[in-house]
Amino acid sequence: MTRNDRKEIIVSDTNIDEDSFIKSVAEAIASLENGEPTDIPPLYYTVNTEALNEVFGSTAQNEYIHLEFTHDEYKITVEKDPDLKVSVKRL
Amino acid sequence: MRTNPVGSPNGGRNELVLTPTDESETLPTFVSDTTSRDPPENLIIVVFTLSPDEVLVSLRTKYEEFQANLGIISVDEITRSSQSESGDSPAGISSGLVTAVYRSDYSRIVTIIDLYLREWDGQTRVYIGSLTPLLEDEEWSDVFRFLHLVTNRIRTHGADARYHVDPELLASHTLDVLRHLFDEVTTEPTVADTHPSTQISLREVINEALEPDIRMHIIQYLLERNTPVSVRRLAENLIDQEDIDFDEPEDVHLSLYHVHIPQLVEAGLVVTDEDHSAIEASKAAEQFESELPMSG
Repeated sequence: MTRNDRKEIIVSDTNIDEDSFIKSVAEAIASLENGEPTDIPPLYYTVNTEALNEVFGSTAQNEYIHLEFTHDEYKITVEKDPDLKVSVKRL
Repeated sequence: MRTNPVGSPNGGRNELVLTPTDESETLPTFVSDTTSRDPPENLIIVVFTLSPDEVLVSLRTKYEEFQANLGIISVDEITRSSQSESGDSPAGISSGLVTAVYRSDYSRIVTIIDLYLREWDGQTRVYIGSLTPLLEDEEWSDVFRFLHLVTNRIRTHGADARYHVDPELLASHTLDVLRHLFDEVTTEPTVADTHPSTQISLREVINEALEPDIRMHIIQYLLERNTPVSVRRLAENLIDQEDIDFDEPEDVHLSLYHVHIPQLVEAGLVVTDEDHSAIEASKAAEQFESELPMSG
């Protein structure tokens, strides 16, 4: 796998439901690594993706949510402020 | 849990199953696995706690379904009969013979297994009952040497053997050493055991694992197919289900890989190959097929 020179990818305005979140994160890591979205270990072992639906599904205004976790060699940050933003950074 | 293959030129295979259950449960499981797919011509049953009578009772329900040569080796702390002293002649072995062996006489157990394997043609499956009493009472180096010899014999003759041990009673370094002797180390795919709380009913575990419709569709599809399927093919099939909310097979594939398959594996309902690219319904799922809340 040839590594990309970029160390971080930010995906904005993502509709954070479980499936689109998985897609955003896996594809971001894949593009950082010039690899496939299934080259990394399954996200299931690191984060309860089903719970994301509940955490980020809230429609409350002026709500700030910041969630961070490490998967493989990446730091994944999900923010709602109030727009949604997912960033994937190689550690 | 898997280890690296030790190399099996003749197709021989040694599998260690980590299970807290005793021979009264692992033997029926072995027999039903053995008879349900590709029945072998020969069976060797080595028991440490069950009596030969109990073995025969276990086999009786299934045994008539296939014609196999049968050898039972009953290992005990005391020798039950003088049959083990009757010499090494394999005569009569193929008609099904019970041999009683004194527990510390490891080389004798290996010799008898070897005699059966030499005498018989065709595929032989071997059940080695619970190693736990051996590991508790006997010298560790003797047990290791015994297993080293048996796994070697199995490999040489291209047989297929399944061994059992309770992981709770094993020191972790012991397991690490044992692991190298086997082609595969598996945890018994009992649905209830894989769940942290044993108080939860089987139905609850299954319902939770299958709650989103997509996981239900996966299990239904795999049970219908009854053979390993590539994850890509599974994704292509799922996209055709009207209640699955995906546009592209590629997106289904990602969700399968990252969430649904790992969750079903954890629930003990499916098994995958090493790199998670092919998948099939587990024996537990097949066993509990009638329990599954099928929609069709």
